[in-house]
Amino acid sequence: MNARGGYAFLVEMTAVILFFALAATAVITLFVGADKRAGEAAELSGAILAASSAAELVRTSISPEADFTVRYGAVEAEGGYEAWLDPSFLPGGLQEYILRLECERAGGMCEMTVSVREKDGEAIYSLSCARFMGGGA
Amino acid sequence: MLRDAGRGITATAAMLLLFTAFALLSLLQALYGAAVYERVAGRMDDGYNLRASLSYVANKLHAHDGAGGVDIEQAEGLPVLRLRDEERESVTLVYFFDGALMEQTVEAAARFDPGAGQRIAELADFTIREIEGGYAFTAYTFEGTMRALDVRLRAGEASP
Repeated sequence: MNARGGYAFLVEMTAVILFFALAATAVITLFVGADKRAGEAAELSGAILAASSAAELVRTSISPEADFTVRYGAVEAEGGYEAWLDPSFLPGGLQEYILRLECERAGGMCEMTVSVREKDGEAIYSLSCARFMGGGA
Repeated sequence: MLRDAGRGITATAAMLLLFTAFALLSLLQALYGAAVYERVAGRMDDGYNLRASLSYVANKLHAHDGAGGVDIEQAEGLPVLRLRDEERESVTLVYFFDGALMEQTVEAAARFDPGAGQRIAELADFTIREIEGGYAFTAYTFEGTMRALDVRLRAGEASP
């Protein structure tokens, strides 16, 4: 009777452990997801500040491309200008993110897009701004 | 009889083993959860303090962007960003003091008391620097994160 009772308890405990393992897997998945989201949020926040800084420069500049090139050490790439940013979203140092400027001039306006991208080119944040350059089309 | 007793001991040992495994797994999960929570909370604090401080000074600067409306001066040994209002009767001072970005609005001629300001964000350091056509701000959190923001004045043309 005792042995049968002990066996039943053992089976019950095994079921409990299995259930716990499933629950633990779900909870740990949530933890990992939360950690990943927090990391992405921090990255987005840094990208917003970097793009804002660059936008502040180019939209008050009379020669945005030249100023962007000088300030960030950018080079021409795929119809725009690209510079490397370090993990603190500052120019130079480690090459972690890409800061890109695209300018399109039409009718005296210079429409610009500043974006921050991952190394693989995936966009993190993009900001559009414009400046009247005068002259007209 | 002896065989029954042996089975009883084996079953008890197995149960104890399961209990121990259960307790250990629970403890590990709790520890891992606490570590992740601490990291997430730390990042949230970091993000809040960085965004709050840098966005705050950027907005303040734009709000006071006018001819001669903004400058930096040394007061009580601190670099202080001075933002004058339109009528020039009062001045808003933004500075880093005692582990926080502080703000204080005073009469133009009043004596500056750094400790009397209002705390905007808790930070390890915050630097204010004049650059060509604007100001550069850098915020450092206690977690070791650093972010910078350049703000250009729009009232005057930035130098190329």
